[in-house]
Amino acid sequence: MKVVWRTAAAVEYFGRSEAAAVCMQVSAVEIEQEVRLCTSSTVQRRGGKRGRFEMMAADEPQQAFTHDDDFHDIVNDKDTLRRATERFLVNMIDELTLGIIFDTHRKYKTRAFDLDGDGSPCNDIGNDTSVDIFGQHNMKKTQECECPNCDRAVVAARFAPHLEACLGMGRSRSRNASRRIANNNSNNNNKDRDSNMYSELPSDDEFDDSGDKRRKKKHRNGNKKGKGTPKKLISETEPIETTTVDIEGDEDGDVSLKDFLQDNSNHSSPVDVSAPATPNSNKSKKDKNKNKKNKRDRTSPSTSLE
Amino acid sequence: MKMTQEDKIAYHLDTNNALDRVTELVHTRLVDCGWRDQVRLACRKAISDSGDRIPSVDELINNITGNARGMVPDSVKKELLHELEKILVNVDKVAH
Repeated sequence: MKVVWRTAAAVEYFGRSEAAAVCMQVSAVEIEQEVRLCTSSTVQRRGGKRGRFEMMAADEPQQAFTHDDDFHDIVNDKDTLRRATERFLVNMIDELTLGIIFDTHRKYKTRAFDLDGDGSPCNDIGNDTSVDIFGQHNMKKTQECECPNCDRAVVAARFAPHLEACLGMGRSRSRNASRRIANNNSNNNNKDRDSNMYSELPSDDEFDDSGDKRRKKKHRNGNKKGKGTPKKLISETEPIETTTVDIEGDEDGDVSLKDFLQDNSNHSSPVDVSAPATPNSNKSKKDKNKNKKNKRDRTSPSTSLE
Repeated sequence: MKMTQEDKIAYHLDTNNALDRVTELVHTRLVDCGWRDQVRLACRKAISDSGDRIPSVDELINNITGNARGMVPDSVKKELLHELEKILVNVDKVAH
């Protein structure tokens, strides 16, 4: 009964031909027959328009039973099973083929790709180095500059920092650079270092100008911090005035501290200083360590004076 | 509505939640054996051979579908048929 009223509803809603299309493989004649049966008997039409023709779902108990039997019969018979399975597989392959055809056709219709060569549309970018994988051009062209000092090709954005390091204007690494430069100049020119343009740079034996800068920075930082804590400001200014040891340059610090201690003490000879067993050298080392520790303690932000 | 045997097979697989598994199995096998790429190349060739005018979907279907069936390797086809039969027998056992 459900099948009948649903069929009639489909005919009413869609019209005869469309109902047939919706039903899929159901002929219009069959639908008309159903409708006649429907009108001849007093079948109550439920609801309004029902959009779906659900023949299988409507007649579930009876037809499902028959389908099960049919399926069982198919499976039991080997030849029938083989043929049915083959047709099922062919249908599936056809569906996949349609999917590929639709997909390819849509791509070519919407983007109108160039079909020269075997490359797919996505691979047209290929070997072009100016375009990235998303097809976007590299707008920011990296300009390279040649360093006048080391003759290296440096990216423009990094040219200034490179020059700073290369010429020895920067920090600890620049000391190596300045040493290198100084050695090169002494080998090349055989002139006094004072006459050299790089002589303005601090040597390893002298106080480090970058240390001065650092001290100034520290001083500035100390001032900023000191607004809230004046005690700290005092303590931070004290080492700045007295000490000359550079924490960053460990190797160079050893040399400068040793020289500094030698100058101050004037008791030991360089030979004694170099010998590890001498008490003076031990003392100097201890002092150095103490100084370093003190400096670290004083400059560390977490220390408290109380 | 008269259902063909393959439609009945599809219906029973669907009701037993096996249709998705079967579809995925077939799809994976066909991709692995390179069949999908071959069909895609055939499509592109058909489009490029037509010149400036891009052929319609119907024309492509008529040209390619028949060839696509033959592009499936025999070994893959046999394997798929064997596995499908196994699955159908299991589904029938579960149903009964």
